[in-house]
Amino acid sequence: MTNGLASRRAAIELDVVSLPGVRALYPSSPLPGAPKVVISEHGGAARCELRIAVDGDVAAEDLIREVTVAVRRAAGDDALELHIELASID
Amino acid sequence: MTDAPVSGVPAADDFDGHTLEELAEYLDRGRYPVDPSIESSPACRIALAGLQRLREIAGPLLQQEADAAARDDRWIDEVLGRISLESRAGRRFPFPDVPVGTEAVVTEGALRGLVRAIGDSIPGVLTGRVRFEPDESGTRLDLAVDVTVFYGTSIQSASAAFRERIALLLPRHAPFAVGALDLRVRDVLERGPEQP
Amino acid sequence: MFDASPGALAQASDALLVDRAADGDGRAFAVLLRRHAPVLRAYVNRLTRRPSETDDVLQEVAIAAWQALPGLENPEHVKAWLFRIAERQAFALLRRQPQHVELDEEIPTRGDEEDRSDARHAIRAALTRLPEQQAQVWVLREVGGLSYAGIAEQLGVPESTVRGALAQARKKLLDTMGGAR
Repeated sequence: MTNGLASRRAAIELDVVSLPGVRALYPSSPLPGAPKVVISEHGGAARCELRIAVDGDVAAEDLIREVTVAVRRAAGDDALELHIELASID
Repeated sequence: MTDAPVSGVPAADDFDGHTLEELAEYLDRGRYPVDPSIESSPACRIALAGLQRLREIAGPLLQQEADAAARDDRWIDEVLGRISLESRAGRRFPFPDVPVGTEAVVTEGALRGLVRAIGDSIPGVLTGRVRFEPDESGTRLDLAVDVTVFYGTSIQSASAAFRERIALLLPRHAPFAVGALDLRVRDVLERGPEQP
Repeated sequence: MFDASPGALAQASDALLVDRAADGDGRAFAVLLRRHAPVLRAYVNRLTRRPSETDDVLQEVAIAAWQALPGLENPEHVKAWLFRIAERQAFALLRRQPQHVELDEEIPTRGDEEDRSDARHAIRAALTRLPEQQAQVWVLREVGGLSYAGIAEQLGVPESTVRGALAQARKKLLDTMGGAR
């Protein structure tokens, strides 16, 4: 299960950072070793949190839609809930 | 750190009844009000000249040592790696029009950075402090921005360009239209922006 | 997407860089650090006499500065403010590692050749030879501009000790200068 989570996190990270308009994923906290993709599960529902640095060329709401699609596809979970924070725009 | 408190040696009143400390304090006061018992003493005047010279050496001492030392700023890159993680995020503003099951916010810090970058992209302008507040409806953002302009920049046209770009670009990245934009020129820089 | 001309920030005033850094601009903070780093390094070297530790002290100074910047009331006085932080961090190092590691070399400088004969060089060399506390007191007073009370607080000693050490340091430095003439 832990392995499954780790590989899902890695797949999400890879797919998100390769989207045009995404500059970087930031760690979830300043603590050393903090993950960039946080997935939590309660009941049957999974939730994914991301902090993103984005390119000023791409409109935010378009990018959020693309990130949502990419994350759900990478996770193989169309019902995955997302929390996306745009932490930097340049 | 192990030196015992000093007793005796130089604190002795060996300058015609004055201590070195008194003379240094007299110098700190700019030798005013004039103390005739100091000014008429050759020993005091020699010591004052020495202290004065010492002070002239002390002033630029660090700058000279800094100029002479090899420059090594690698530690700065390390620091930047550490601080960027706790950048000043501030408030979080939600986007209304996002897919079901997704919550998305933009941080106050990200929007400040955007406003700074927009300002910096205008020739002759450097953005300073950025403050903003959503209006009561929560759909419009009033901004107050300090800028520095380089000498020779037309403040009027720079302001107009700033206004235009902010109104165009901010709504693409934030759930807000641009309301009032209070642009304040805080400083004018002498040299041109093309210099390194 | 938005690129300011690269040199522009380097020409900005300290106050502007502080305002931007306080708003979260790491690039402006880096320019500010680069601008004052050499002098801060020289200051920390003089206070601690442990050049090998100075990078660590400067990093602590920078982190403390980054955290406290939004509360800085007079951005134009940031250099003096950084000096105060450097003093605290320098003495924090000395408290953490109180054993005195004797330097067998002077604080590294190039350009010794040019000023070997003059009083400045004599003073620098004499400063390096002074007992640690005397040198610290003199540097804090004459270079850092601290009051006796400020020095006493920084060193954790009574003001009378500060006065005594300062008098000793001045006397020795004056003697050195007399010899250099």
